Amino acid sequence: MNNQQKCPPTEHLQALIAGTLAVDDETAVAAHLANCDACQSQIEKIAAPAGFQADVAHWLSDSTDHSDLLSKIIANAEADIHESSRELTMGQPTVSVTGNSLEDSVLSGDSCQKRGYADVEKWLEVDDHPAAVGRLGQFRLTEFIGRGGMGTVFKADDLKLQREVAVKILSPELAANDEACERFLREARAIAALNHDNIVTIHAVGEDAALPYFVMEYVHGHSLQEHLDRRGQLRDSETIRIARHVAKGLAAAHAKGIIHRDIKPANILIQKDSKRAKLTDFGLARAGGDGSLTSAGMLVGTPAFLSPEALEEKEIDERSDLFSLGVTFYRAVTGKLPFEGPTPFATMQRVAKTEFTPPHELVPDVSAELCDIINSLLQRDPNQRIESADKLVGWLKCIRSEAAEHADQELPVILVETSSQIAGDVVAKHSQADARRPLIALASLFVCSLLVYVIFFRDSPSTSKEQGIETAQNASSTHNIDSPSVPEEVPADSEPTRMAATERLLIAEINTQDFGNRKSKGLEVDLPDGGVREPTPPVGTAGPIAGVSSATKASPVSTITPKPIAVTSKPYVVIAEDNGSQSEFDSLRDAILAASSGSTVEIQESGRHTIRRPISLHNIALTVAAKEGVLPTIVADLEDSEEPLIRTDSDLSLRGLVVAAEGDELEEDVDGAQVGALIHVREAMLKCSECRFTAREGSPIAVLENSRSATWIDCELYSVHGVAIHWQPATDGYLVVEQCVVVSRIFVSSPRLPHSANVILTTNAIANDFTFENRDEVIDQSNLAGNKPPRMRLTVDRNLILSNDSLINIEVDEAIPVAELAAGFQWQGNGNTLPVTFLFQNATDDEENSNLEIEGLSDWIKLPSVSEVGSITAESLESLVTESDYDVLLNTPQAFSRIVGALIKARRLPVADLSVEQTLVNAGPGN
Amino acid sequence: MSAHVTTRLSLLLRIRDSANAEAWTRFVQIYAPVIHRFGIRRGLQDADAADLTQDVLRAVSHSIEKFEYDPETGKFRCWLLTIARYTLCRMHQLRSRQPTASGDSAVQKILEASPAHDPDLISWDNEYTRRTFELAAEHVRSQVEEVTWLAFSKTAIEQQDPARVADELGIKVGTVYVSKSRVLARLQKAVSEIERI
Repeated sequence: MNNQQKCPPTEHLQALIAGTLAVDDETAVAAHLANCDACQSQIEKIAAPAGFQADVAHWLSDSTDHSDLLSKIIANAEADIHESSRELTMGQPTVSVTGNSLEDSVLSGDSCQKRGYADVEKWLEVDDHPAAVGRLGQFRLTEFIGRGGMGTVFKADDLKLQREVAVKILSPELAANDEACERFLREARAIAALNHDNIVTIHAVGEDAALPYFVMEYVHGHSLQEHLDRRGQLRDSETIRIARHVAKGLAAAHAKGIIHRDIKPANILIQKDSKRAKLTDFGLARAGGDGSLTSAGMLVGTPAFLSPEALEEKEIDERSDLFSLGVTFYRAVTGKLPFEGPTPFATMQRVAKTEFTPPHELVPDVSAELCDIINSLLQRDPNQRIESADKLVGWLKCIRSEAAEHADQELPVILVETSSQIAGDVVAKHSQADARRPLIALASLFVCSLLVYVIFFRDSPSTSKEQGIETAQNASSTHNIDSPSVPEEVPADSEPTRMAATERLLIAEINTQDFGNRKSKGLEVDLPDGGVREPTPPVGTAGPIAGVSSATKASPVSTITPKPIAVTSKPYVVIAEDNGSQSEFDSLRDAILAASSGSTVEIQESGRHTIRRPISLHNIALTVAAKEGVLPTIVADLEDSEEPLIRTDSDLSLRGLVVAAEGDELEEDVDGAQVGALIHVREAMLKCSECRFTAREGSPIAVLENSRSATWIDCELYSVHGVAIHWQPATDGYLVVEQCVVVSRIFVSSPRLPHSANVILTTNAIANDFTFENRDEVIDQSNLAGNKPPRMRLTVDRNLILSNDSLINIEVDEAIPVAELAAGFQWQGNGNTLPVTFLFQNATDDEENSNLEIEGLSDWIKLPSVSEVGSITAESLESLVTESDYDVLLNTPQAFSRIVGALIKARRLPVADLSVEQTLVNAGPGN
Repeated sequence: MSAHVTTRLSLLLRIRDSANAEAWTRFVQIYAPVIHRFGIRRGLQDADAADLTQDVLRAVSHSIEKFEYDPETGKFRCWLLTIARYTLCRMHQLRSRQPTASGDSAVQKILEASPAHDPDLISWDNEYTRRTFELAAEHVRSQVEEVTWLAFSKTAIEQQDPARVADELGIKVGTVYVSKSRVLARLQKAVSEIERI
C-alpha cells in the first residue's frame, strides 16, 4: 500500500471514514489526503451525498440558541411524555370486579386515576421519605386515596401528633378561584362543627399551604361501594345497621342545617373494626340558607343517586338526601340501582319518570320493613317521603335484627324476654339463632306496627287504608351464610363501568309534567312461605327448610296476601309487529335471527349478553331494545372475524343498550379501517337512542353505506384510535347526532363532493372531528355547473367541542379550487363552544398542498352571569377554553358538567325535540 | 370517591408504547423551536412565542391518535403549520378582544396566496429542515471528540482553510480532512434518522 504517490483505493477511504482501517494505514492515508486534492473531494463524496455538505453549511451556519423559555417548554414536554409513557407501561390497572375489560382499561380511566393527583403533586412540598408523595406543612402525604367533591384526598402521617390522618386538598384549578376556596373551607368548618360518630371527623383546616386543605380522621376500612363491588349485595341486617348509622349521622348534619347532596355508597365508609358507618365527602354540601342553589346548569351529585327535585333543579332540602339514601339502600339490598340507563341522561329520565322494580321482586325474602323504608325514601314527591332523617332513625330502630348487632343494642329489654319465651315454644329443630331472629323481629314489629302504620301510611295517601291493614308483616329474613348467593353476572359485571358513566355529571332539562304520583307497588308485600331464607346452595347449615315453615303462620297482625313470585321467562323476547305475538329465546343471536321483519327483540335482563358469531340480516327490519328498567350489555366477541356484529340491509333501531366489542385490534383493511364494525347498515335507516357503544380498537362503531338516514340520540360513542361513524350518504341522506357524547371521529365519505346530504349536530359533546372525504378521482363538474348545485348542508348547533383543531376536515384527492369546494358546503352554526373551523386538505403528497382554513361562525353563548361559586359566565368560559387547558375541561367532572349544562340550559332545550324527526319525516326518502 | 370523566382521551392513552414516546419526544425537539421561530417571525415576543409553542404542542397532543407521527409526508407538516397559524390567529383575536373577523378577508388573503408563494409555508419548511440539521449536529457533536468536531465545523461550516485549522487545533492537516469526512458521514446518517422517526 502506497502513500505519497498513489491514491488509496476507495475501499480504504471508506474504511477510513468508518474507522476500520489499521492504524498505520490510517496515518498513511491521512498524510496523503493532506496533499491530494483528488482524494479530498473523493472522500467527501464517500462521506455524504453530493450537496450535503453545502446543506450542512447552509443550515448550520447561523443557528441561534434557544431562548430560556423555549428550552423550558421543551424540557417540560419531554418530561411529560416520558412520565406518561412510563406510567403506562408500569402502572397496573385498578382491579375491577368484573366487567368489560376493554371499557375498564380504556374508559374508566384507571390510568387517569394513577395520574389523578398529578396536578396537585406539583404544589406539594418535597419530602425525603421514600414512600411520601409530598408534604403539606406537618403532614406527610403517603398515599393517594381518591378524587372527590372539589378536591383530592390523600392518606397522610401527622408528624406532629404522630397519627394517621386523611388530607383533602382543593383542586389547583379551583384554588385560583376565591369563591371556590371559600366554599371549600366553609365545608370543612361546617363539618368540623358536627362531631358525630357517624360522620368522618374533621380535625383541622389549613390555609397556610400552597393549596387550601383540611385534615380528617383516617378511616380504616372500605367504602360501601367497595363492599358492594366485591359482594354484590348485603344482608338485610347489614343494610339495616349501616342505614341506621348513616341516618344518625345525617340527622346530625341536618340538625345543623347541612345538606349532604351527594350521598352514595362511595361516600359511606365502613370502619373495619367497629363496623361503624361514617358519612364523608360533604364536598358538595351546603349549609342551608346559604343562598340560591345551583345555577347555570350546575348539577351536583351523581345522576343515579340524585333526587328528582335536584335533577329538576328545584329548591331542595334535607329530604333530597333521604332520596339518595333510598337509592343507596336499594342498591345495597338488591345489588342493583333502582334507576339506571345506558347514559347518564337516560338515567336521569328514569329517575324522573319510571317506576323502580320493588326490592322484593328482586330479592324475594328481603325484610318487608326494609322494603317499606326504601319505598318510602324513593317517593318522587318529597312530601311523600319519610319526613326526616330523625324519623328514619326511629323507624330503623324498630326493625333492627339481632345478628347484625354489636355492643350498641338498644332493643328494649322487654322484647328480648318476650321473644325468648316464644322461641322456646316454636320449632325446636331450628337453630337457636335462626329461630330467635324472625321472632324477635316479629315481636318488635308487632310493637312497632302501629307506629309504622301511622308514619308510613299517613304519608302515602294514595294507598288505600285497607291495603295498609292487609299488608303482611313478614318476619325479617336474613341470610344464613356469609357469602352472597348472588348470580355473579348481574350486578358486579356492569357495575363498575356503569358507575363510571353514571357518575359523570350532566345536565338536562327534564320535562317536568310527568312526575305524577308514583304509586309504590311495594305496598303489597309478599309473605314468603319460609320465615327464613334458604342458603343457596345449601352449605350444610342446620337451617330451616325453605318453602315451608310453620313459624310465622300464626301471624297475629294481618291476613296474608300471597303473591306469586315473578316467573323468570327466557331472557329474549321477540315481539312481532303485526299481531304482537311473542316468542321467547334463550340466545340473543337466535332471537334476532328468528325475528320477522318489523319485530322488536326485547332483552329482559341486565348484565352481559355475548354474541360470538356475526349476524347478517336480509330484508328484515328490526328493533333491538332493552326492556324498561333493564340495562343489558351486548358483548361482541367475534375473535378474528372482520365481519360486523350486525350486518343488515334493512332498517335497524337500537334502544337502551350498551354494546361493546371485545378482542384485539384487527389488521387494517386495504381500503381503510372499515373492518370489525359493530353495525353495518346498507341503504337503510339506522336509529340509535340511549345507547352506549364501544368499538373494537381501531374499528368503527358503525359503517353506513349509501345511507338514507342515520340518527343517534343520547348515545355515547367511543372508538379508541378509530372512527366512530363511517357515513356514506345517499343523495339527500341525513345524519343526525344529537345529545351524544362523541369521542372518536365521524367520517363522512362520499363518492363525490359536492354532494347533497345533510349533517345535523346538535347539543353534543364532541371530542374529535368530522372528516369529509371525497374518494373519487374526478370531480363531478357537471354538478357545479347547474343552477342548484348540490350541497352538503352542515348544521352544527350548540355543541361542546373539545377538539382543539378544526372540527370539520375536508379531504379531497385532487387539487380542487378551494372556492369551488367551499361552495359545496352550506354551513350553519350556532352557539358552539369553539369557533368551528374548516380545514381543507389536499390528500396528495404533492408539494402544492392547498391547505387552507376557513373560520366558521362562532358565537359565544351569552350566559346569565351568576354569583354562585364555580359557575360559568361568558368570560370564564372563554378563559377556560382559550387557555387551551383541556385538562381542566376533560379531567374535572365538575367543569365538564358545568359547561355542558350551561350550554343546554342557556338554550333551555326540551328533552325530546321532535323537530328534527319531523324534518326527516317531511323530507322523505331521497331519490 | 372518584368520579372519572369517561370522555377524556388522556395523553396516556394516546402514547401507546415507548417507541411512540421516543417519536413524540423527537417531535417536540424538532418542532418546538420551529414553532417558536414561526412565532418570532410573525412578530411575537419571546414570551408570546413560547406561549404559542405550548399551545400548539398541546393541541397536537390531543390529536395524537389521528396520526402515527410520520414526518415524511408533507401532510403532517402542513397540518401542523395550519394549527400553528390558527393558534396564532386565536391568540391575536383574544388579546385584542375583537369579535371574530368575518371569514371573508382572511379567506381572501389565503386564496390569493398560492402555496408556491406562501411565505409561511416556505419558511416553515425551511425551519423544519434547519431544525433537523441542528438536532443532528447536537447529536453527533456529543458523540465525537471536541477537536474532531471543531475540525469539521471550522472547515465545513465556517469554510476556513484546512491548513490554518490544523495549526489552530494542533493537529495534522490530514487529520482535519479525516475528521471532516467522518463527521459528515455521521451527520448524514443522523439527519436521515431524524427525518425517519
